[in-house]
Parts: sequence; C-alpha cells; structure tokens
Amino acid sequence: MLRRNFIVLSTFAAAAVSLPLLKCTSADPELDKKLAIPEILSQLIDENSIKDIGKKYGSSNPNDYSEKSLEQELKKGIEGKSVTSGTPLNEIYSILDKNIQNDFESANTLVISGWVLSSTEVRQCALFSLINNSK
Amino acid sequence: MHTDARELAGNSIIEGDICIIGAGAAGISIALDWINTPYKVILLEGGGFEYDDRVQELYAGKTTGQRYYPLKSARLHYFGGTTGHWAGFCSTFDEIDFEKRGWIPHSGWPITRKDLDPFYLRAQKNLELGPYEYDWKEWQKNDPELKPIMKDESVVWNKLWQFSPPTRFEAKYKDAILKAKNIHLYTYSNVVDINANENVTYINQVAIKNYTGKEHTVKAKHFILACCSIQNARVLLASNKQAPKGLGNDNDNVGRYFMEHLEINSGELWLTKPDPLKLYSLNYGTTKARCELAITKQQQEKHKILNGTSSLTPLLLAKKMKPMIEVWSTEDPQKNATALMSSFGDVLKETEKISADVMTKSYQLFTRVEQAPNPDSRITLDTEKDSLGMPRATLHWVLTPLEKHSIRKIYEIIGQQIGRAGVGRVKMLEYLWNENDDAWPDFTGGGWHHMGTTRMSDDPKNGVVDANCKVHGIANLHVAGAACYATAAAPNPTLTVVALSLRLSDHLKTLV
Repeated sequence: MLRRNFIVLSTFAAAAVSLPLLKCTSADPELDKKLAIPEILSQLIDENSIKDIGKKYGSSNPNDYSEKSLEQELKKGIEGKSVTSGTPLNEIYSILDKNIQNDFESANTLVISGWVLSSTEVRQCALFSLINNSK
Repeated sequence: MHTDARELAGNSIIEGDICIIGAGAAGISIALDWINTPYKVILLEGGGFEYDDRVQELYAGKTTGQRYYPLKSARLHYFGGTTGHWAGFCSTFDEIDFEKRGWIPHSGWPITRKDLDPFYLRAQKNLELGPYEYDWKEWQKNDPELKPIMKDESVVWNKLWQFSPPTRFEAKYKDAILKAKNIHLYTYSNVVDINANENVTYINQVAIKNYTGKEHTVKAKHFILACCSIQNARVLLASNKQAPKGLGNDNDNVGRYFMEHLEINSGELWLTKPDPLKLYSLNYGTTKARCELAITKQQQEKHKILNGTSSLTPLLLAKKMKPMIEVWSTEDPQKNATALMSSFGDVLKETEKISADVMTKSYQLFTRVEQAPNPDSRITLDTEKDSLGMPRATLHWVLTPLEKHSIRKIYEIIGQQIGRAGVGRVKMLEYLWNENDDAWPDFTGGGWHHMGTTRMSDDPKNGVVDANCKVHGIANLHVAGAACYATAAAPNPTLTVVALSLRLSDHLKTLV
C-alpha cells in the first residue's frame, strides 16, 4: 500500500471511529495517530496485517498493550531528541526511523507472523491495532 | 584404453599400479592426473558410456527416517557418474567449515582450508570454471551492476558461486581417458568384494562382476574407492568375509554420519523499491557467477549455528515451482530430470509477461545449509541383494534440532540486516515461526549431495579415513570424494570433491 494512502485512511479511521475510545486511554490521541504508522512496513503489507501483528504483540505482552504505555515507549527519542505533541510530523518519522535503525543494529527485534521486525515498529503496529480496534 | 568387461574371458586377472573404483567426478579427476605417468592405472566403472537401467538398478535401496529421493535415481551409474545431470553450482568451503566448533558435535577436520587451496585452483579447470576468484568485488570490476543489497558485510556477507557449463565428464573427458596409454578403463566392472591379507592390513585384490555373470579379479598396489558416499560405504560393509563388520569398520564408523545439504524454501524478502539484485540473480546457462547471502564466522560462533546460505529468486517465479522432493519422485533419473526441467520451463513461460517492477520487489529466500554430523544418519546393508549378489544399501537420513534452529536464526540475522539497511523486510515461512517446533514440513528436501559415511579424522575411533584419505589400519586403501567430508559446509560439494581427489592423487604419487 502507498504510504500516503495508508496515512490518510488511518487518520480518517481513527478520527471517525476510535476517538471516544482514545479519550479514555491516551494522553494525546493526535500524537498517537502519528506514532502509529510503521513507515516501511506500511509499504509492504496491508492494514489488516499490521493490526494482526499489533494484536499478536499485545496478546503476548499485555502489560505493554495500552495506548498510554505504547505512546510512552514510542515517544522516547535518542541523543536528546524525543517526541512531543509539538514535534513536526517529518521529525517524528525521523526519530522513529532512527529508533528502528538502532533496533535492527542492536538485534532488538521480534519475529511476529514470520516478519523480522524492530521492537519500535512492532509497538507502532500495536498502537495502530488499538486505535483501529473496532474496525 | 578401454575394455568392456562383459567381453573379457571369465575369471580374467587385471593388474596395475593403482586401481580407481568408480568413474565419476572424483575417479576421472584422479585418472586424468595420472595420464603420461609411468604407472599403469586401472579405472573401473560399473556401467558403460550411457544410461543402462540394468546397471542403474544396482543403486536401488530403501530409505527410512527423513523423507528422501529414491536411491536408484539419486545418482547416475555410468561413465561420468552424476556429472551426467548435475547443475554446475560451485563454491569453496569456508575456513570455519574445517574447524572444530564446540556447538556442533563431531565437527572438525584434520586438514584446513589452506590445505585445499592449491587443489581448488586445479579443480576449477577440471570443472571449466572461471578464474579462481570468489570475491564478488573482483567480479564487480567487470560488471558495475553487481551491487550488494547490504554494504556492511560484518554480519551477513556475500558468498560467491561460480557455474560450471556444467561439465559432463563423459563428454568432456572420455576421449582423453580412452587415448591415454597408461589409463586402462574397464566398463561394466562393479566391485563386489575387496580382499585383504590375513591381518586385514593390506588389500590384495578386488572382485568385479557384471550382469553377464562374468567375474574378474583386479590386483594393484593401491586402491581408491571413488563410487560416491553411499556405494563406498556399501562396498566396505559388504566386504565382510575377513572383517565381520566390514573393511575399515573396526570402530563402527563406516556408513555413519551420512550428510546432505538441506535445501528448503524458508522465507521472503520484500523490498520497498524494485531491484533486480543482479549480484544474486541466476540466469541458468548464462550467469557465470552469483552470490548468496551468508552468515559470518563471528555470527555463527555467537549464535551457535550451522553454516548456511540463502539464495534469492523472484517470488512470483519461485511460488510457481514445485518442491524438488515432489518433482524428483520416481526411480527413473531420466524421467525425474525431464520433469524438473519441464517444471522450470513452464514457470519461466508463465512469468515472462510479468513486469520487471513487480518481479523484482519480492524474492524467495531459499536455504542451503549443512547438516550437523550425526552418527545415527547412516547407510547400512539390507538383507535384500541386487542382481550381482551384493546386499542393497539402506539410507536412514536423520536431522537434528540444530538444523532448524540454524535456519531460523539465519533468517533472523538476515532480517535484522535487511532492516538495518532500510531496504525492506524479511518474512519467515510458517514452519519457522515457533522456535520450539523441531518438525519439518513436507517440502523438506536435500540437494542430492551425499556426504560423510567414511569421514575423515586423525583418530580411528572418530573416522574411517585419515587426513590423506587412507582408510585407517589398511595401508593401501583410499577413499576419494565427499564420503571423506567430516562436515558438509554450505556449498554444493563437487568443487571440493575434485579438489580433495586431486590432493589424494598427489599424495598417491609419493607412495607408488
């Protein structure tokens, strides 16, 4: 799927369907939507597959399967840079990309549904699955 | 010089300086190396110059354990041996393949990669390969389009294969052998017994037979068994009149440690941008060299895994191919070869109209991995006998959990490096998802690479032949070929078979 379409779809879906849910569990729903896009993976597989990966991660890591927890983890940056609600979208992607790179470099990876994925992008899938839970 | 043993008067006695038993890649390579020497070389071949089902039938046998190809069709039994239908894949073993690795039981050779280097150089010529150059960067100098998918080779490196035309030894070397005055080729000469002296320390003669019922005797100063891993073990085990457990088998090692390369579809590589990956592509018949993804020595040590590589084939093409274990299913090698080629041809036709962008965005990851040396994986003798009265061979092929663990880890490592390079992601096939599952899927197959059975070791308790391929305890009996391998490495075995045989040939010249 094209990344742009994926983002548009995800954003609409989140806004239309999941906002009430997000209100209860997320400190920053708008930021979550930005954090929940696994950029490279979204070019390779469809939304349902991303949700499936996220749910599988959630079922084996229930303590880390909440929007709050995932947001906390995904906001962590490196070299003094971290994500806040005011961080521009391109910078968010840049920070996430760097984190993903570091994950692969340090073998901080998980195998889910056969995919060898960085921990960061698995958390993005998990957050995406929560945001789009009712779909 | 050539003699058809069917035409000889019965009970003839043939004498020479050395006797090579088997005219395949190993036996013919040694014979060629002795042309124009002052020695009389006897080269024995069980078949003739072309396929003969009555001879091929002598290779039939049972298989138990892990599903395997029918033994009758897994080797060719005529002059040239299995080079009659091999595919020509050649690469060198790595240094680590010869080392004792603590995490792999029974690993370690009594020789090193350096000991083989000069013979690899010579083997290249026998197999009509290109320059003795296995560094892809050197090949890239002539073709800048050969680019690695990952620049950093500290974890995953690019191991190069060269492709023989492939050399058919029958077509290529028959004339040279027949014209050589000191090489005496006897066709239809199946060795059915090896006769030693009273103490079983020296071989006096071998008995040969063919389907006419005629039997002859061959006497020589040195004998070299070069009939492939299964038949070498079979002949040694069946020569049990003087040594009840078989020749060279005082320590119960003959036939054990049978190894194959597991060749199995294992995963998918998905790229964010289409890329023909020319460095890894294979256009059969045209490509002179290509790479497979390999795991560095340091990573193998760190993760305690076997040595293996991964080849890349466009996924749309690969998905249409049937598993080799299904295609190569009959007792008839010619029928199987036709089915295999036809299967490839059909797939190529079906996919030729698919656009390059689509074809080059996803790739099948296909593993070729050594199996851990395993004494329970073995050749034994059956109670059933063939038409010459020889007990048939039975193969019990056994894998261990280490093979599956290694494949899974190989793709985890490759997946991490692909992710690190930012070019895409790797997905493993479902049979690898659960790391606690040791079962193998139905499509598990081998590469028709028979290795082990008379493995090399300095210690007679751990092997059948010594570092010079001489059978322990028997002064003039040697084994040539992949039967001597202590471990299997990842590459197809033929280049190393020829190199090791040429090394044995040089050694024999110091003995006669």
